[in-house]
Amino acid sequence: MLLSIQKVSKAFGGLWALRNVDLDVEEGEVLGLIGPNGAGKTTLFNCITGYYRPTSGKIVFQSVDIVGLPPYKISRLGIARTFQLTKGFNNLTVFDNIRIASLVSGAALKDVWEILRLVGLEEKKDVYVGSLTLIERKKLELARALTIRPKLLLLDEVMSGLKPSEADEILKVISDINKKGVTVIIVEHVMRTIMRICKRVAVLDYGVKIAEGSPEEVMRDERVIKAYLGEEFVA
Amino acid sequence: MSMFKSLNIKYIVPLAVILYALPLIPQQPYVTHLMIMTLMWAYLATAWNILGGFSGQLSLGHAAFFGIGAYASYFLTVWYGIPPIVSLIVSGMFASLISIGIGYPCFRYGLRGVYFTLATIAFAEILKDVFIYLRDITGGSLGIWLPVTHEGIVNLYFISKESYYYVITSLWLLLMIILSLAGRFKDYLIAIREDEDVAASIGINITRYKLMALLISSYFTGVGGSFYIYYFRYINPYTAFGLDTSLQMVLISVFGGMYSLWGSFIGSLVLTPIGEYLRITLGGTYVGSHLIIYGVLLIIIIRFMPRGVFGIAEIIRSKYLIRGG
Ligand SMILES: Nc1ncnc2c1ncn2[C@@H]1O[C@H](COP(=O)(O)OP(=O)(O)OP(=O)(O)O)[C@@H](O)[C@H]1O
Ligand SMILES: [Mg+2]
Repeated sequence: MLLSIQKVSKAFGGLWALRNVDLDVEEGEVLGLIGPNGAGKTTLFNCITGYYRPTSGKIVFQSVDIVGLPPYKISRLGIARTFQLTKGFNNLTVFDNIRIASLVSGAALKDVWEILRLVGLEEKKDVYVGSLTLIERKKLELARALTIRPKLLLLDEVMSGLKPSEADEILKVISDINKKGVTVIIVEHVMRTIMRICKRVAVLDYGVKIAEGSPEEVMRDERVIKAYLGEEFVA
Repeated sequence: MSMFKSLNIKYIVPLAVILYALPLIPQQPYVTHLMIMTLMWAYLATAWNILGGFSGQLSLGHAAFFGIGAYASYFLTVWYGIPPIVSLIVSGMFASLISIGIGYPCFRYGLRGVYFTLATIAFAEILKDVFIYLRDITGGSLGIWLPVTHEGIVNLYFISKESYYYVITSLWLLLMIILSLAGRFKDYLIAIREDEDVAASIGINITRYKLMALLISSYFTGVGGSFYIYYFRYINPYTAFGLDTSLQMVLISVFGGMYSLWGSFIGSLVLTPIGEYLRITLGGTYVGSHLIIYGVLLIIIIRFMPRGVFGIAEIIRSKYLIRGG
């Protein structure tokens, strides 16, 4: 097991964004994490990567409890993330964003080119990140996460807002990365995407994990249907 | 950006030749003084820019480090008889030491943005009051004078102004060369300035690099303060720790372009002569009026040319390059 989330809770004041979440991630898999708006998906990513400290619970990565470690240390352990609300070094070019991101892990310049080509940002290399389109910013998120040569990659809605053809492109990139041995957790709203790449899916609702299994199983689950569509749709 | 970076060293060499050759043209002592001031403020603004420009931690209290450098040099020279040339190098370490007093609490406990800026102002103001108050040690508000000594580089005492010009030009060039070679360190600071969350996500230890930026920035600022007292042979707490001193570094750097290593030099080339002129013509009659002018300038620059003069040059250049092929 690569990552084990054990009874993780996170409270913001009186609001429980996560409640006793248990989730295991096997080495080499692509796990889907879904749930309605505000379910706690991003919060879980923030807990794993050290941006939030869980109120309680343990997060074990390669048999090390990483709760309490600062984000930069978790990154150096090999956990990469993207940001749902895209971020970047806005006053720098695409190329410099990825070049600087590669410095810590010591990637060579040819790796920078390789990553830019992989996500399809090669032609935008001299554009300032502040003037990229949303789709390009999503690609930049993915590219930057790849620079640390992660063992575990957390993708927070990198495909939302993309046209189906573009999403397919990114999907292809993700599955290539996965084939090289990188474990992936994908947060997405679009079920089509999840169904195509994940063999296993976990569902969050109001901070609680309500289902886990193959995409087909999960989609038949009454609690999942209820969470997504409301009471009246349950047969 | 990357292209400009790699060309840094190539620009520095011819510029050094020009700067060292300038005194060969006979000139009035006042012109030499103006050249010394221009290089000194270019140097100080470059030192400020390590923290303020590259890492984006807006300090308005760098006079604290300038002042400590100046006073430390005085104590080392007059009390302990340490050769001034050695004091010049050591004084910066005292400035770094003092900077931990502000850096550790701020960076460790995440005092960001405006709060950090306010803390730096308060820090310099407190030091000013302390140095005014401890009259027996510091000479109080009257300030301190360095005694006349033997001429020469060891004592940093020269009859001709040209020698001071060579000293400050060398200090500035040295700082520029060091910063040109510290590409990776600079890149980490820029990453922190642009987005701390992203910087952390790629493995940068933000607290550590901010502290290093502060230590290095304050070291060189302290050395600048040391140069100041050896050149003027006098300083008081108002000049040493005053807000004008801090603002001048910021203004020059921001005006020239704080995203670039060259911005401070360009900024000083334009603003220092204007500043000296204002000080002479207005300083006596309307005390503090140059501060108002600085303030207005700062607002205009940030509003209309956030990348400074250098930024405009870069834009024109890139447009030209794209058209040219
Ligand atoms: N820093 C914060 N402070 C207070 N409340 C927060 C904070 N971050 C998240 N929350 C709250 O926690 C809950 C879970 O939010 P989260 O962003 O994790 O949801 P999500 O599943 O990612 O939703 P979405 O699909 O809209 O991205 C929400 O109610 C949100 O308002
Ligand atoms: Mg989210």
